[in-house]
Amino acid sequence: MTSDVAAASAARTRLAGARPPALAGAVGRLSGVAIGLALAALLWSIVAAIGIFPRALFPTVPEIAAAGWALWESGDLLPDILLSLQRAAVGFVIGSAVGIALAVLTSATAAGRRLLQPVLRLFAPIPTIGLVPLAILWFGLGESSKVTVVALGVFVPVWISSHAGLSTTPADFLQAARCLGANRWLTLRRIVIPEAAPDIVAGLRVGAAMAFVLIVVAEMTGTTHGLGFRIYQAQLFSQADHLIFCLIVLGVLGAASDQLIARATRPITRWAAEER
Amino acid sequence: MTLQAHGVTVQFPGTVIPSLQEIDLNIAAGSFTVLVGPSGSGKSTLLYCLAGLLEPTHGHVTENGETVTAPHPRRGMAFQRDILFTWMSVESNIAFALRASGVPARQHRPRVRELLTAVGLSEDIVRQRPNQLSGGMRQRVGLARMLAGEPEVMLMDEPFAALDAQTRLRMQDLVVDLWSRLRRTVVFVTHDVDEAIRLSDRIVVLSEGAVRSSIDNPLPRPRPADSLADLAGYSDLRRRLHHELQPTIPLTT
Repeated sequence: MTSDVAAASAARTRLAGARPPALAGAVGRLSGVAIGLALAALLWSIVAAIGIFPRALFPTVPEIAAAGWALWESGDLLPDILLSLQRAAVGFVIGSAVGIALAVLTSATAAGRRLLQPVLRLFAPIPTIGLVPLAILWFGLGESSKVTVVALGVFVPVWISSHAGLSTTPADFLQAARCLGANRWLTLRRIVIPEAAPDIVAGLRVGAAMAFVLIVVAEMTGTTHGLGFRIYQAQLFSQADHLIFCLIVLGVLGAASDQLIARATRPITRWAAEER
Repeated sequence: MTLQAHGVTVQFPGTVIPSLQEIDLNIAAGSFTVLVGPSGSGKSTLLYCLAGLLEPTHGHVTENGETVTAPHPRRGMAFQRDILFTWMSVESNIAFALRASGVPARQHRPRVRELLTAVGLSEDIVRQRPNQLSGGMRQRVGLARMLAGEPEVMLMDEPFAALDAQTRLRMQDLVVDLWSRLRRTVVFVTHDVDEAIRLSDRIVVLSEGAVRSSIDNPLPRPRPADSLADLAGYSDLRRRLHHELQPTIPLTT
């Protein structure tokens, strides 16, 4: 028993020792991000300075920053960001909820496996962008069509990833749960879903990225606000600096959303990271 | 609880030779039966049938005369690998078994502590996750979780095979202690002759899917590991077991 405790204590020490102090880790990560961004800006500036592309189509970093400032000062940028975020968030929540719920059905029930899964397998490869005209036909040019497009695009990766995780629970865990007397519902809630949590979260992160791709497509028609509309306008008026700035904003929002999901779900995925 | 195998035969799809062939076995209430045999002799397959995890191709298993058709916490199972739920804390692992057995939630915390004490663990570890524990501690938590279901029979499939020698001896002491204190029935699978001699009332030797012999263990208890060989009858029993475990088909070179 004494050696058991000693071994466990050593294991804890190893785990603790392997983890860098929180502040140092955060500073290290931020430094990495800053250096990476600086290198990307430098590379962009070099290509712009060489002049192999027309200046109007390949603006310099200061010109892109100036375009961003002009958008901010015009008062359009913040409402556009908020509206796009709202549409993306609503579509993401609906698409994720439906994706996870259907993944539970297709993995845990015979009817879902036999009837629903083949239909979803046929639906999954259809490019969501191709559904935009259909969404407009069905829901008009208002908010519903935009949210529907985002939700459909989010649904596919969330369902695929969640289904994969939920249908591959190790047999050992299921046998242990059966021997302990757990019914199907308890097994699903406490064994199958938590064990699949890392896969479900991976699907959510891909889905979040997809939401930002699709919001641009959805906002190119039938609206006069949103980052997608602003990008479309910039293209129409050959404002590459405005267009690139909006794309950078989308990138920042997408990366922030990804980090938000990763951090919010860490309590349910930490065990898997520690197992690796 | 009396557990019986009646002509249990198991043949997995695509195989020519059955893994178990017409096994008849009677596990008396309160006994400590050890199944020994070389790899592939059918020990674990038989244990899975007794647990209700595997349905025999022919024959059946009965528990107090009723046919076993599915696992039940009355027949607790300890697997070769400690199958603790890695995303749960020690407390949640044991509480899962309590919840599965219908124990009210307000009783979980005190019961978890009782069970940890029963297997020689401190309640300080309740918040730790399995990957923060040593192999021996994980097996103890696994035993506590099995005991949470109030099993009448403890079915143990080489649970200590992956442990170091010292930890293994301590775990053997713990199992014997639990068996004698709680008066449960134990069916224990091993391929280690000394482990079988140290633990058992009766040793069932399996070979090529059939019961080759059933030997009562005459050694008095307690059986300390360091003086096991000094006990009267040890050498004869060990010699007999080795003889029984000889392959029926001579190995050719």
